[in-house]
Amino acid sequence: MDAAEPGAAGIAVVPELAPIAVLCSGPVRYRDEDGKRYVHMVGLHVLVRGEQKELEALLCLNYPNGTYPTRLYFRVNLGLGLNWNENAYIFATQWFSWSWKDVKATQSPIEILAGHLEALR
Amino acid sequence: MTLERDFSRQSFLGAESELVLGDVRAFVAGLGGGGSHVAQQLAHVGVGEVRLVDPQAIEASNLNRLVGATQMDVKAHAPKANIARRLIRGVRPWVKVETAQSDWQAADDLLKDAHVVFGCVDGYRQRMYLERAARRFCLPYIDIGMDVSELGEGHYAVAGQMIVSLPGGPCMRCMGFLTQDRLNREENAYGDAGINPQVVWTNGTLASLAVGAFVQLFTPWFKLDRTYEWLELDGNSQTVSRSRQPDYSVSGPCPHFASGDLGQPDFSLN
Amino acid sequence: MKTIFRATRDFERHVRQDLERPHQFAAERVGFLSVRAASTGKALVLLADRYHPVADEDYVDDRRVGAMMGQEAIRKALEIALLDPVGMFHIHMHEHRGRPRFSPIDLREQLKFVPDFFKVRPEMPHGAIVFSHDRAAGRVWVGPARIHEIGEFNTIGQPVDIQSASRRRLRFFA
Repeated sequence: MDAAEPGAAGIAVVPELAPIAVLCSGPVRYRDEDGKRYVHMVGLHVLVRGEQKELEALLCLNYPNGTYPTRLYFRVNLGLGLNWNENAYIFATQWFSWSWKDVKATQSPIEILAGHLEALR
Repeated sequence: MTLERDFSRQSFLGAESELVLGDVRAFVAGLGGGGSHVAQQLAHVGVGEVRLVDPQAIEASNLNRLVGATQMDVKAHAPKANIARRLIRGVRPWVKVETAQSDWQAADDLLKDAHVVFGCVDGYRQRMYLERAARRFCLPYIDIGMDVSELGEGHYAVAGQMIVSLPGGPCMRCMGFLTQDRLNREENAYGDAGINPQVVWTNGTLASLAVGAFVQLFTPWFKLDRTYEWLELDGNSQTVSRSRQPDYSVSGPCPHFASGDLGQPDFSLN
Repeated sequence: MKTIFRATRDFERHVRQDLERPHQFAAERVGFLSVRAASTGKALVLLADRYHPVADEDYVDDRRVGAMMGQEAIRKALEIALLDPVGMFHIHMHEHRGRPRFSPIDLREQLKFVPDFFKVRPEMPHGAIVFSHDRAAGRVWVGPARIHEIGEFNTIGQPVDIQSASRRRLRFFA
């Protein structure tokens, strides 16, 4: 993976993550655990039910469930009552996730992220 | 030996077993039907420090199995962790008990420097995460759970498991207990298991197996060579037997936990 | 803050077996453990990750001491910490049972090389551990000049062994 121009907080952003880095006030980088690849986003600007929020988030790009080929997690529980939400433990930290089906893994990371964020508008 | 510390009846566990167990820090995730039994037994055997984590308060339907709980607790919506703490302190006032009324993920500071993790949680996915946490901090993980399924009209199968997963040894995925299919099915059902039937005698059996496995791990009374354990409880025939599934599933070193998955990511002293 | 060192039984067995191997001229063998770390509010937990024996050719022939590692051994250990986010702990073994203690030479030599690891990996703890046949002792540096005793050793396996620095060894299977 080639390094691109530096992103926020001095962490280099690879080209395909640059569109996501624009949405974040902090670093954006890949991280891996248990065979899954995540995009870790610090300070992701999100519109949640019309309200602007800045959240730490993980976007799983290769989730091993055909119904949920990708997943989005937040460090805080937004408590939106969207279907169910799961308490996950990834990178030794608690994350919260909701079910949002069929956001295809064959898209670019920014497209995957947009697909998940649509549910929060 | 004193009035508060008379372990003469379990002296066969080893000449210094009282000291050994007194030094143990046990983390119990889930203080429902299974976890409340485990907490009770840990107090009786003399574990010196117990960390109890459960986000829930007791409800009336829990009273059929939540050891140590009373009607007054139901009326007061008492936190399950507090009920377990009271239970432990009633047996051994000197035991150090820490509680957290939260998800275990939010209380992982109580897990990191423990010596053993008891998983008494609901669902395959929570077991998966909890075992990962135990592996990340190099801790033995002891899991219990029961299930009631309908065979036909008015006929049910009661089953349960007690699993010991040790760092470096086969994990629950290696053993064939946690499969991607099971994890996905649970997720696709939005984690909804319906009203999950639970009964005190099955939970008690499983908790006893778990505490027995723990004592075998920590005291020298019976030397075991196994790097894992999976005992299956058949609640209909009332029998316990070693699961045969690992015989088909376990092959070679565990591939599910990488070296980079050890410890706290991005740890810093500063 | 209490420091706990934790390793699997298999890992510890592997390290001991290597440290027991004879060397051409050194009376003792030495190596390095790379560790990962975690902390709670009250404890620092060191988790043994890999064992890196000092290569035979990287010992210095100095019969005044049990073992003397050369600059190349230290360079290789520094490189490990540079490339991976790990703490490095020097390890050797004393041939007796019971609680081991660092010799005055051990303590003097540690001061020379342990602080150097903070130049390549300042965010991780580093230090030194000594085994006896049945116990362990150690020191952890949480800064170039901040040293603590390792208060507890956990060996995780069948069986689990908890050794507290403040308590005498509890012997199993004696």
